[in-house]
Amino acid sequence: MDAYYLEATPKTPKLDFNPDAQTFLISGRSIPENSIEFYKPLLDWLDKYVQNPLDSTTFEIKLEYFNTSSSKCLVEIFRKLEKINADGKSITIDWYYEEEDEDMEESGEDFKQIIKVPFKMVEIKE
Amino acid sequence: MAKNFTQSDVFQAEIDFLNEVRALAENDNIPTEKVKENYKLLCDKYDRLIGEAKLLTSVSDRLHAKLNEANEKLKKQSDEINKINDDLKVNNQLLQDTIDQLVKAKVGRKASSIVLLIAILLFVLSEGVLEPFVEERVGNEQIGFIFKLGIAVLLKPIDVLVERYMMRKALKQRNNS
Repeated sequence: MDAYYLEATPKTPKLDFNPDAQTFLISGRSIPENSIEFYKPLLDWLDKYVQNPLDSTTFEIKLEYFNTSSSKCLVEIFRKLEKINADGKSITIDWYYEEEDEDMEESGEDFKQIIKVPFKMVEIKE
Repeated sequence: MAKNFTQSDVFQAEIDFLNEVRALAENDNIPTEKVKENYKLLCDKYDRLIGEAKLLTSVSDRLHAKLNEANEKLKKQSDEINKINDDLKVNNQLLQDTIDQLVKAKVGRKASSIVLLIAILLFVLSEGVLEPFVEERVGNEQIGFIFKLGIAVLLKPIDVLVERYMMRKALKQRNNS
């Protein structure tokens, strides 16, 4: 399966979904003008990926800032990953946050509560 | 309008599901088992939606607080900048006044030198040319004293005129530069 890659911009995050690397990554700032338009290709890509996922996948989220509509899109992404977990394959979401960024930590905790995928909070020490 | 479109896009999956369930509700010929199945599905979706609504509210509140904090910080910085600006204006005026005084002093010194030169010239002219000529014609030796008195009386008005002229010239030069 082809990888899905998008370089970061000041308003959109880097999307690096390479099945060969076994690690997926979303990093940077996510405040697109139209979140669903930005994330739609990724959601379509994930639809294909969950049909035949790797035995083990790690999904790293290293966001500095995201708007409300992006958080809804993240929920949609995580929902798709729930299918991998339900099918018995290994999937872990690693939520990275800066040591002093309480907002990002609390957001991670909020996602953790509603997503049925192993969700790890990873603090980045400065 | 564009914003509403974006928001409805974000919830498109939920809207589609709701329309689907509404269409089913209109149908009177659905078997009870199917109704039960859909009702359960609806409950699951509703449960998920509550979770997402809580998350979105929480994220939104945090963003709002962050924006508010940034806004207050900006307002504080704006006030500080305005204060600095006012101080700069006052200091600028003080500096301008000092420069004007310095220019005035410099012009005053120059004007005094010129007036001194004019006084010497007038004295030499009076002593060497005017007085001998007038004394010879009129035959009054006191006339020399009157000339010198005249020069002395004229010195102050000449000084004022020269200083005024030079000050105007200096201000013109400053405004042009």
